[in-house]
Amino acid sequence: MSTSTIIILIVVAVVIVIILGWFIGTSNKLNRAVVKIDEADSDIDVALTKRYDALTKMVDVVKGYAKHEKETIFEVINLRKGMSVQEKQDASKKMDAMQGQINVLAEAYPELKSSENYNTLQKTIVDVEEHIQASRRMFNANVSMLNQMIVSFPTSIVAGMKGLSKKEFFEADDIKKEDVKIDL
Amino acid sequence: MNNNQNLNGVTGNQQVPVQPTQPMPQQVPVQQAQPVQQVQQPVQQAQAVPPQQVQTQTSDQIQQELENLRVKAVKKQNMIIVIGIIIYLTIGFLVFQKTGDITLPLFGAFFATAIIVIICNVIKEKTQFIKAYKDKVVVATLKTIFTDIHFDMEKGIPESVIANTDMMMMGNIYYSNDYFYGKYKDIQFQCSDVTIQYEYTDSDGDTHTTTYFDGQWYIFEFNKQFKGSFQVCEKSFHYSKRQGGLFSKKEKDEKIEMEDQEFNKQFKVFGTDAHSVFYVLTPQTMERIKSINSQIKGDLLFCFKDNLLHVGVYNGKDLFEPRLRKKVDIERDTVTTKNEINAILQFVDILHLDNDLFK
Repeated sequence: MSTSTIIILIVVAVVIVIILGWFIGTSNKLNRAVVKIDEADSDIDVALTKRYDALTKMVDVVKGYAKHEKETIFEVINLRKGMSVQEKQDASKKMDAMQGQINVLAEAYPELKSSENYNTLQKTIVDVEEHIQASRRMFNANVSMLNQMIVSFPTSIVAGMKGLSKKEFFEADDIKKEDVKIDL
Repeated sequence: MNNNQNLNGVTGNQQVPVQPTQPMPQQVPVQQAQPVQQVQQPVQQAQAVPPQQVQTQTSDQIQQELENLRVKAVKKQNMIIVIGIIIYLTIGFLVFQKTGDITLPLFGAFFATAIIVIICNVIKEKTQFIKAYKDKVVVATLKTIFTDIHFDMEKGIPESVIANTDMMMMGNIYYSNDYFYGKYKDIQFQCSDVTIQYEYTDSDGDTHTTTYFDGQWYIFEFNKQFKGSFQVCEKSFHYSKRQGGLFSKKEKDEKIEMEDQEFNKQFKVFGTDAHSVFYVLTPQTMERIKSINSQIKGDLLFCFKDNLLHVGVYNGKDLFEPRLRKKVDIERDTVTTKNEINAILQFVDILHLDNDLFK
């Protein structure tokens, strides 16, 4: 074998090693991004469950003051494992509506609004909502990072080979984009 | 109980281990305040000036008293300078006469100057003036803004408190003084001047010093409960450190990218729990931090740990230091002191630390 052939083979081998290294590195980076999204997704589940629990407790407190109106503040909200982003958004909207109804009732029952239980739960809900916002923003930041990688060349080649597609964002209601404010 | 121990068992006269260098000129030997676990339990041994002492004297009387002390210190310094020059010239002349070489006396001028500067800075009169100035101007001003204020010019935030934040390299030289704690809008805080340096000697025997941090360190009670710890460092600060690593038992910090691109350009964020970072750094908080960054000169470091907020402002300034060669003016100095502590007000006001909704 001539020297030039050996040099060509070495160059080809080096190029193959570089490409392989890049492929593995990029593939791992995409895997990490997907794992981060999954973690953020389950973080949203936890936060939604906490919010649901807090709202359920709030409903119990409201029941004591507005017995004849209790049916108006009940809405069927199903939280289950493996919900899609859209389903989570729907559940979140239903909870917003439930929260709104509770606030309206509190306006009609001043003794409810001034009760210690109600105020403590309102504070809990504010905190839980902050956690939901944090989870949502973390989820969206991770989705944004993955989506950017998926559409950027040459990462898009690896993403295509792995069958990855752009993920859906967890959209926030306009009102939720502001700081959580509550009238106590 | 030992006389040097406070109620928490921390010795008041403990020296910060400073190896291998000599104490910096113009620095009061550092004594440590107690390790800070909770802002709510500040240092007990810090001494506040008895209020009646300030109240019974009029502003003019205080000014006159301070001016007398200042003039006394200046006179002493001038005397030392004159005596030093005379001694130097005498020795220099004798050496020149004996050797006929001017190089040695000229070289000796550097040493003579250094010795004179050191003596001028450690004289009793200067220390007395600085102490009186801080007691009667600084503490009095602090009391007009903060409650439960305690000030001790000789103590500082312990090195371990800053080291435990794991947010920056700690070098091998640590100084801290002008420690004070108090409350603003019912928020507990602590503050101290801090200098962190790294000194090393190269193979040629030359000594080099790198300053990692020189400015103020603040610790605030934080209004949100969160897991883990995280740090926000201005990108222009080069001595930040990530927690954990190959040989560390601590949980490793990960770099966290926020959704605010402008914020990402100005700051780097590292933390052990991404959720906590997003929970504390709301879009509004990030806006506020950017706003503070535009208003405060120097590099900013934030560390959120154990529900405390540590803030480092690397501005190369030493707070509350009077100028010996400048006449005392209570009115002017009060304004200066107020400007110097403005950062505390900004941190509490802009970051809304007094919002207790999350407690």
